[in-house]
Amino acid sequence: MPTTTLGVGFVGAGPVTQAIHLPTLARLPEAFDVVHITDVDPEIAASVAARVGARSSSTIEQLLDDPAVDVVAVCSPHQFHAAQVTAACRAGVKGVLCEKPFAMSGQEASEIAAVSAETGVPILVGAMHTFDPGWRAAQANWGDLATTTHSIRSSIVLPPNPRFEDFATEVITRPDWPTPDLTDAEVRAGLVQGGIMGLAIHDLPLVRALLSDFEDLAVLSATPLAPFGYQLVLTASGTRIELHTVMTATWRPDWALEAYSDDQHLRVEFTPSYVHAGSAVSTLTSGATARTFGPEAFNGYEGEWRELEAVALSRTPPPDTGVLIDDLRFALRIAEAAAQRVRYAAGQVVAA
Amino acid sequence: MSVPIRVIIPDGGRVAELARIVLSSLPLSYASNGEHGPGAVFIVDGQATAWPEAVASAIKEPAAGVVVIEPRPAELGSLLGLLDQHPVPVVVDSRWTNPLLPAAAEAFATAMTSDGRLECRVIIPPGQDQQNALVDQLSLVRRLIGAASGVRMIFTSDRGYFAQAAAGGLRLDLSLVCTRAQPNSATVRLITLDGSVELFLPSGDTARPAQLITVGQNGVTEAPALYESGHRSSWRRLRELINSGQTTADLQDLAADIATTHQRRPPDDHKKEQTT
Repeated sequence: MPTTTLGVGFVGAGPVTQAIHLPTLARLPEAFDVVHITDVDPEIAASVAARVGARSSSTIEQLLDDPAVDVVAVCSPHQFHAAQVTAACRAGVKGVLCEKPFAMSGQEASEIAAVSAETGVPILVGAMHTFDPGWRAAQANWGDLATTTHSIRSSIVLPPNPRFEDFATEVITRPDWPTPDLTDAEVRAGLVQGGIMGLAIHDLPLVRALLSDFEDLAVLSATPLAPFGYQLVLTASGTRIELHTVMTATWRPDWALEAYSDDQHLRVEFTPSYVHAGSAVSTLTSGATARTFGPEAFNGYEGEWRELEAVALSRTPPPDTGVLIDDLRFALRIAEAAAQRVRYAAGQVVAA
Repeated sequence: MSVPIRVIIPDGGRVAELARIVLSSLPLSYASNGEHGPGAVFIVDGQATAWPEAVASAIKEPAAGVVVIEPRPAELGSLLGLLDQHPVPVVVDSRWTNPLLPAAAEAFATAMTSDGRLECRVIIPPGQDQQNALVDQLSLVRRLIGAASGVRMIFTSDRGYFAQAAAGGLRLDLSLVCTRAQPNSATVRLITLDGSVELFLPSGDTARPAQLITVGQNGVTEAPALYESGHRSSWRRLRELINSGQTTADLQDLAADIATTHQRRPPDDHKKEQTT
């Protein structure tokens, strides 16, 4: 039972804060109270803060000066994450939840880890699938799968985000997505790199949990998919990894992660982001025997906030920042190598 | 009512067992009395090294028809020459033959536009011949969409492969995973800009139905379940061909798919793309 309600300060008031985190925290009223929202656009900050009766501001300094802020959620554009997480740690808050990715280089990640260690402020990265109870149940029951997996496949077919954002809340300030010029190799490379750091990154910590190592990582194929997506084939520590994501006009989301060893198969079917449709369902199959885990009532977003509460109140040890750094290095290496592959392949774009 | 056609089954082994099971389910179409001679249907074990010679012998009987069960890749030039001279219906009962394939082909054709991508994913146990698996995949794709071409292996190992090709004007990804964790299966998915068509096929040994699911703007459609094994559907097809006096292009198609696998490009040297 929680004994303390933690005051939450949000850095960034965009669609992720509006459609993911505020509806999630509405489900955890005994644990959290949103007290402050900051955004570079003060009108947006004020509008979003008014929804939850919080104060608003336009700088992180004002937010960190607010004594009611116990934990900070960093939901700003990727390039600002490192500086803002560092500032929150220096301010001595009880915990920081940073949307993925929490840094844009291994160097930045190491610096953040050092600040976290120095200040004692725990950091969680919002890779929501790692907190999904359906995934965690599979992990707890898969036996030797992490050391015997030889093939991994992640396939994500999604409608554009607004379909689910609109089910979650009424969003303001939706960013424009200009139609990319796919004839430009650099644009194609950038799309694949952005797709990996924005979408694949949800599952990359899970993929890494099934690998012994990734020092020999090699991207064998990388193809941009229209209208938005990518298809990658890579290897790491002898394991073949397929990563596929495409956003189309379909109404039906299909988000699955699979791992195969000689004698075990894991299939995890995730619910779409934004909506609170419960946890993933994981099925571990071995010959004629199948075990299914989930669905639980809550998803990975709620899972990460529950974890932040437990960590901030010292009920649970903080996450190992070494793991967070390795997760980030893994994602960055894939993104960089895939972008290089796209430049090298020059020209190929495949629809859907 | 038509008279059952005599069936000649190989002695012993897996194919003999399969044949007995199919025969028991088609007693008005076929009968087994084991006597060679003109007018019989010959069941040939396609995993036998000399299966083309066995088919050739059957054609020379002359057979009323031949079913080749799950053929392995072989040189088919002289057999095709013989078949030209002596037309006999030969049905190739490949690993992914299934009674739902005609309906599936129609669903894929309806959904296919130039904006789409195809995947064909297959699961078989470790230790089986991977070229055979690739031929079987290409045969399946041919039945659904049309002939595949330009196969480029991206990754190969003793636990499977990943390859890219083209079929029906679309990009085709071919994947094989070797595991004992799941029964043999093939999944073919077409992803379009506003929906998908997905076909799940169990092995031809089982009457477990295939699943064909089409996702469109108005919802999901699932094709009716057909509780018939792939093998039985092949035998039924042969009987219909014999009754109507038709032959097939199955062996020519198989030869073309085998040739496509021979032309496959090996994986590139990816070391230069590795990051440090």
